[in-house]
Amino acid sequence: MLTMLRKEWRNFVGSEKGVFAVYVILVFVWSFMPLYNNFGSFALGGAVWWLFFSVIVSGNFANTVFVAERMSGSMEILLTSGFSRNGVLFGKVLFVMVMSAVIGTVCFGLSLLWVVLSGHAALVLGSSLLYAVLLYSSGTFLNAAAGAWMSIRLSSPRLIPFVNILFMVCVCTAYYVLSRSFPVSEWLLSGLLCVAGAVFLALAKRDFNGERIIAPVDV
Amino acid sequence: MSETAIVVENIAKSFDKNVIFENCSVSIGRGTVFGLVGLNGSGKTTFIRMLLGLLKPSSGTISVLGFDPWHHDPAYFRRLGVILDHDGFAGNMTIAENLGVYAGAKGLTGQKVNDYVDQYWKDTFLYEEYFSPKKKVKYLSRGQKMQCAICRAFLAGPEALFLDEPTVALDVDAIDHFYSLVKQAQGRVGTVLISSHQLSAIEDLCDTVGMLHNKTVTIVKSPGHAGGAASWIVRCDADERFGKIIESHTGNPAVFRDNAWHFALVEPETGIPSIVAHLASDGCRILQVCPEADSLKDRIQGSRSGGGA
Repeated sequence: MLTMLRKEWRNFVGSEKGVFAVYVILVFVWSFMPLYNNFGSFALGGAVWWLFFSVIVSGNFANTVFVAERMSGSMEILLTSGFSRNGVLFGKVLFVMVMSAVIGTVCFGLSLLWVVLSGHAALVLGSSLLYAVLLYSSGTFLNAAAGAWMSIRLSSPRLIPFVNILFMVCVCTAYYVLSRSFPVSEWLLSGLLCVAGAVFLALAKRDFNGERIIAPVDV
Repeated sequence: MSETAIVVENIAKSFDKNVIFENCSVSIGRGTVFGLVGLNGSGKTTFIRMLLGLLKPSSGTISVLGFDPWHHDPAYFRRLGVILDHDGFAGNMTIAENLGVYAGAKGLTGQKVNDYVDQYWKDTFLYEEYFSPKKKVKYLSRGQKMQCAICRAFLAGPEALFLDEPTVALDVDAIDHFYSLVKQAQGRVGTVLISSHQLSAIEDLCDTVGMLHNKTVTIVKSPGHAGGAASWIVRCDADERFGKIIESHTGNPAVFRDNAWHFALVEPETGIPSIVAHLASDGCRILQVCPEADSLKDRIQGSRSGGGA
């Protein structure tokens, strides 16, 4: 699993400079989002922005490590080289989560800086901050696991970020309906995202150990 | 046959209603270089993928080096070398970094990989690119990538090699180098299965050749064939007397078809002149005497019309 993590990291580090430029711009622009909202505290009001930031970041990495691997045919080589299949799957999911966490942390840090500089420092403290971090993390987990599964299931897996948004909306809608009907905690949304992520991870694990993993992919 | 490395017993494989294999059985001994040939769509890649555990037979059993490939045991794959349709390298990494990843999967240290490249790849572009990398893999040519794939396949001295079209895009030097690697692997009693449309490579390298046809593998060349009788034809009239003359010299039956007598002959150097002399003295008008066209190409093309091997 760690070998896979290192491999993906080296492959990412070896990317063209333009790739890093896109991430820098994305992080910089997104870090201002919490300042634009007027929904209350920094973390709570900005939570949705973090959720969808996780879709963009982890969806893109899922495309790189799962879809590109299958489109280039290198997945077959990986699976027949002595790595355990689960090691390949979990190593790649871990890489997506680690990269999302790193980029999310940088973006989050910048956001805090802008908030403090704008004189709203009091908003960044407390459980709402923890809530935003948890929401981002659980969203990332869902995206990584769903990305792994859909990279096998979709014949056009480049659609992964869009389908990830769909899944995210479905979970958020389920939470919204529940919260309107019952007195549920706001932490439930993170829980739902984690449960959905665990289901997708189990599905991905099953398909990684089956024939579908080498099914043709639309280029 | 020596100890068996690959045993395929009565496998069947179909995709939906498309039947690819039916009652297919084949055994390949250790130290054998086995060529797999067949027309496009005959199932060569499917066969290799089943041996690699990427596809599961619908029925029947496969055993390679004592493992069931479908169990996906990493210990099995560590004993294999593989070349498939694509080179399988991470494009943003150098060849040294890529080989390092696969060496890690096989439990090799960096020093072992260095020694391997130093020993087997010294006179190739790969040696330079490995020890002083200048390019990411994505900037290598197709032939260079194939050489890198061959380098990865032979890493760690695998006990079995599954090579799907390994000579595609290789230049003459690279092909010679590949041949020498295969011979060395065979010398280590490694089993090599090569699937290719480049029949010259198959005929040069393989001591046994299996042809995929009619949903099964038929052996069309084996070490036993090489030491046995060769097939010859004499094109002349269909007079039974001529057939009897041929049979008396060869000790084998002579069959008349396609306007020629077909027969097997152990020692053509002495047998053919004698047969020709006796036929001529008996009034036979001989139009042609030659070895029977029996190349892999003929057999494969024959399989298209249902003739088979």
